[in-house]
Amino acid sequence: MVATPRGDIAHLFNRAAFGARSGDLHTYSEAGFEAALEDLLSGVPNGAVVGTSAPVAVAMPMSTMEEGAKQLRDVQKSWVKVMVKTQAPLAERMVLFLADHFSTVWAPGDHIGSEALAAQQSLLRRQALGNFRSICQGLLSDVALGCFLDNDVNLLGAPNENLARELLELFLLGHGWYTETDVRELARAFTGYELRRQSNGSWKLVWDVRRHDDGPKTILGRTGRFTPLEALDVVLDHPQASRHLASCLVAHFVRPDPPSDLVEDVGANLRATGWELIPALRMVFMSQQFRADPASRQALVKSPAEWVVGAMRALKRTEFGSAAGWVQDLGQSLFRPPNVGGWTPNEGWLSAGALIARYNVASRLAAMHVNRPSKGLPAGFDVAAWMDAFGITDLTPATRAGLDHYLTRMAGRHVNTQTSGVITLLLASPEFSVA
Amino acid sequence: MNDLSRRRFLQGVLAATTVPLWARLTPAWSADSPGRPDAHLLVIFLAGGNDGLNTVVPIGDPAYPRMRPKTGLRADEVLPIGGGLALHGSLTGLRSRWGAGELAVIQGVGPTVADLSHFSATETWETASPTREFRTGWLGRYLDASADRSRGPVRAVGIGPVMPRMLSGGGDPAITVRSLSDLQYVDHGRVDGDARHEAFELLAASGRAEGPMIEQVRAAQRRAIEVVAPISAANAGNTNEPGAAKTVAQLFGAGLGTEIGFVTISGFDTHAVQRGAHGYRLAELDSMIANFFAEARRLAVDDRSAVLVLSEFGRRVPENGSDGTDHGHGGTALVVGPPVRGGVYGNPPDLGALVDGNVPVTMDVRSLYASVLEQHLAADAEPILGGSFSTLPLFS
Repeated sequence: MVATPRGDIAHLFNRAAFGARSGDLHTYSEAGFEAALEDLLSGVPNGAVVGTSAPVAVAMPMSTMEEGAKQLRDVQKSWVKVMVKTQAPLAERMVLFLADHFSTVWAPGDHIGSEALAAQQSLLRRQALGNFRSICQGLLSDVALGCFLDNDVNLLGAPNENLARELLELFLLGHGWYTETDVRELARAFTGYELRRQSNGSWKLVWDVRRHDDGPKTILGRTGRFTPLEALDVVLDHPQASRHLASCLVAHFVRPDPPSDLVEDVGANLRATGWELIPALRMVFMSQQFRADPASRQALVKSPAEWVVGAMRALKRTEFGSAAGWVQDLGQSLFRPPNVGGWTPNEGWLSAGALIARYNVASRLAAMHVNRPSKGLPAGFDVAAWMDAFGITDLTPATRAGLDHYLTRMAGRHVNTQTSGVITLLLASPEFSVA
Repeated sequence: MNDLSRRRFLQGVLAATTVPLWARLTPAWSADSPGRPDAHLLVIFLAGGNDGLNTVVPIGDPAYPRMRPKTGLRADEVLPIGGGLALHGSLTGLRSRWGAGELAVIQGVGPTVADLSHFSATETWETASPTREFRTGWLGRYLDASADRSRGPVRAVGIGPVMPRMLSGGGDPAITVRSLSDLQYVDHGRVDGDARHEAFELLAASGRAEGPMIEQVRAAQRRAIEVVAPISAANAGNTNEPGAAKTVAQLFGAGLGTEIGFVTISGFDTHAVQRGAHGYRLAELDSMIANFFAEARRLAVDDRSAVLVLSEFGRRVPENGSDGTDHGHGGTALVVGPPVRGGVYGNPPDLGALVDGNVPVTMDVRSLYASVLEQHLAADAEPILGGSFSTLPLFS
């Protein structure tokens, strides 16, 4: 059997995991691309984000802010730890994708504690390789999203359009596929939710038919006395809905300008399976557009979470608190995307400040490694060995020139100095920043 | 590394290559010709859709309390500016600017076609291109068009994690940082510090902004590396993080050629319980403007500085059932500063003639931009905006 080119395996792991690690390229080059993909698709998430139900709102505004900031740090660290330690990297990539897709901006010091974020994550993680309709159904009564988009105060007789609009525009259809009337009618269909405190102190978003506007509504051309779940189905049944998700998946996993034929195929697949994610993802990664089209190689910029988690996994680090801070330094606030549209991918990560931050984090990680190395990593500063550890299969001449210059100038220095320098430069290289 | 050793290192390393990389690595700017632009512009974008009606309040209009029974402001919560109008009570600094004749209020401004999406409306404000004939930002196009006047390595700065679209163009991109200290290496003291930084510079040396993504990354790295030294110098006097507005003022005064700054304040999407949250955000805006001018004054660049306050849209006039307001259309922009000719511009919102509950847009964003470009930045607005638009006499 002909071995799969290592570059193909590196490509798959960059997109469907957090990068290939030491040995991955060799193992799966032998076993083949399909075996690698099936291993990734069969991963079962093994971790959970932990939050607290401690009510943040207390009398003193200052302590509220501090408590909120602490809860945020804790829950960010918890998420980063799950990603670094996971044995189901594709499932975790999907959690990250879904958290961006259903962007929920948590305000520390808000009346809901970080427990609500943990609950949303648990829903996304449970269904990360499951069913998209189930995710949407669950999110209708999700405390974090419901409060963020004001569906907890979307009242009978005086609807609040926030959730209805963003669901049509961002989550399910896309701009231009609905009218302002659809927004207003869908907002009516989403009335009836109320935030209730449970005996254990946590919050629950409860739907109460008596608080719901049960009059007839016309949404996307269909008329009925739709409940929230029925109205959700009306939107999901629109042919654009499956195309929209397909387009988002392909833009995220294949390339920013999603090839339209692949989008159509994946959309049809989602319709045919009733929104099952595994077959859709298998189709994405098995496609010629993903595997064979040079335009899809190195076409993306790793998000800060992908970059930091990838480096942590490659170096087998456990400094999760530092790592969570680094994700922030690189420009991505987990649980605090800039707005309901989520993070700005690719070029959005290339600000001057963020790129120097990538260098600086590379330098810190390299120092941690030489001070206290984890087992099973290359000893010394052999560039090829470290490329393998970082899932890099080729170096551009400029990067090679930079490394050569460094090693020439530092020849004869202590091995730890040179090792630290090589790790820093490889992690700071454009090769490691693209996927 | 000093200039001489840097030059020697680059020449040594690059001598073997045929492409004169050295030339490309030499910044056009040098410390001998500090950049001192004639005008500075700070754009503050109020993200989420600022309620223009509760920013500059039609306090004299009897329809206002009727349509805003819960979110409306009472007479004792506002700062009158005459003509039946008043500023939100949080805007005490701006009220002083009004008194000094340095605050222009522009009403009913926005994208002429109603679009209640945050993202689509924001894009129109950023690109000044309702039909999307431009994908770049209007200020990015200004920077491109005036590139020959460029005197300095940092003509524009965005504060935040992501480069503002408004500043994106075809030339050397604006510098985007959360704070100036982002642009400092953490490993200066190491025995191999210089060697690493040289290598990092080389590794990024051949970047080009177009082409494959890996080259775009390299180009962005190169741009970042280029400004590490000048930005560090500009930041040298700060012992604490100065905050966004002060940072922009410091760059305006740093002699790096910085003309444009961009800052976002989020939290204006007040669908629910608007009253407290909106006042808090406007107080943040007010103190941001005050901090900016205090620092600009200290550095003697305040007399050439103007602040432009924008938001993607105004909010629905009738409030919703959750003590908030949904997305609207026409909004209110502000222009502030010593060069500004204070006053109220545009048509005041007619609460008796709303369209779907929204204030209609009676002034195209491009008229506002044309005024800023021509009167403040001394630029030819027509090629930048892709057409000719009437202007307002906003600057003296």
